[in-house]
Amino acid sequence: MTRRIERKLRKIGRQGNPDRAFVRTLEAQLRQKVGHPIWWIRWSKFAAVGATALILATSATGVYAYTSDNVLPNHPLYSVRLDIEKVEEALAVTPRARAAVIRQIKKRRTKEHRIMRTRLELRNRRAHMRAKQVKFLEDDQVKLREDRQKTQEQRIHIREETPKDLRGRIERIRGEHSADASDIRGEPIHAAFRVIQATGTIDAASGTEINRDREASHSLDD
Amino acid sequence: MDLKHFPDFYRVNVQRIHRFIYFRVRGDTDVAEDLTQDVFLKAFAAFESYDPNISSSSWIFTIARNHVINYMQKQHPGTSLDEIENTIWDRIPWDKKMESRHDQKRLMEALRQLPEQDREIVRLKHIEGWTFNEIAEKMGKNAGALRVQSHRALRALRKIMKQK
Repeated sequence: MTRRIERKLRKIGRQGNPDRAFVRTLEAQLRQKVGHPIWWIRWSKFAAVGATALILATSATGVYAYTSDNVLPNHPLYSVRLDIEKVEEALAVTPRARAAVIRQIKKRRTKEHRIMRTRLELRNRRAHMRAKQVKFLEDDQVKLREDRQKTQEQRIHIREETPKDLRGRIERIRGEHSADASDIRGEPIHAAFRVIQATGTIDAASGTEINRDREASHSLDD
Repeated sequence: MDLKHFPDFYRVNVQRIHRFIYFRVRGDTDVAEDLTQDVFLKAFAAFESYDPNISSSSWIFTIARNHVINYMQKQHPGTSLDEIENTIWDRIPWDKKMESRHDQKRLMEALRQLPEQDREIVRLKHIEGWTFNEIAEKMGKNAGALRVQSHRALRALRKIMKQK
């Protein structure tokens, strides 16, 4: 609780702080009396460090801009590359050197165009593939929706079916299946029917049974 | 000590010396700056003969105190040294010289009601920014005891302000 009072007292104390200009002026006066301006030696250390950092940063940026393949005409550091090339051209004094520099610059421009073209193609291809994927997914979605709808309709239809309709459907399915079954068993049944006809066991027209014993003895004799 | 160390010595002590003088010259900034300059020029002149075994703050504060007393005697001739030394703080008309807010003025009024030693501890520690070790050296007391006394003084101050 005494902290408020302490803060107020410190605030009062700060009113007694000297003006910065006064402090600096008096310091300069005293340093002059001392005889050597140590202050500039001390501050020059910081200035040297700052200047070195700036030079390193600038040169690193320059090297990157000049050598990197990522620095293309749409890159912010492209202008740095062009400036370095201008300097290079200016430093090439002899015609031979100048020709070599120009050749190098042309090579570099060609490389940049090639890289840009490749990247553009790649980008277009990716875009095309993405579009295809999207279309495929969309079609898939549509098909899925249709199937769902169909299933939904069938379910509704089944729910709404009366028992009579259901019986009719079952008979139809049985009919289909029995036809299928006779086809599958096929030849042996028809062959058996023909044999029975041939032996006279069943009248072919009406399908009624004839006296078997009488017919069987005939067939044996034959 | 070598004079080349004086600028560092100056930077360490200038703010506290200025505060010390400021609160003893009724908050007059111009006078405080003049006296601060004089103190450091005197210290510079005597710096080579300064013994580094003695605390640097004690040394410079002694120079400052003596210089302020000399100044006040010139301003108010006929007053004794003790009078100047002891009442130097109480002479500050807070409502005239310093642009203090009402609560700060109340605080300073309350501070004057504290016993002399408590008042001195609070003033040196919280207003002028001395450390407890420096105050202990000046008053010839233990730093821990001074810490406790300071805390009690602040509580008493709070009580006085609540009553007002």
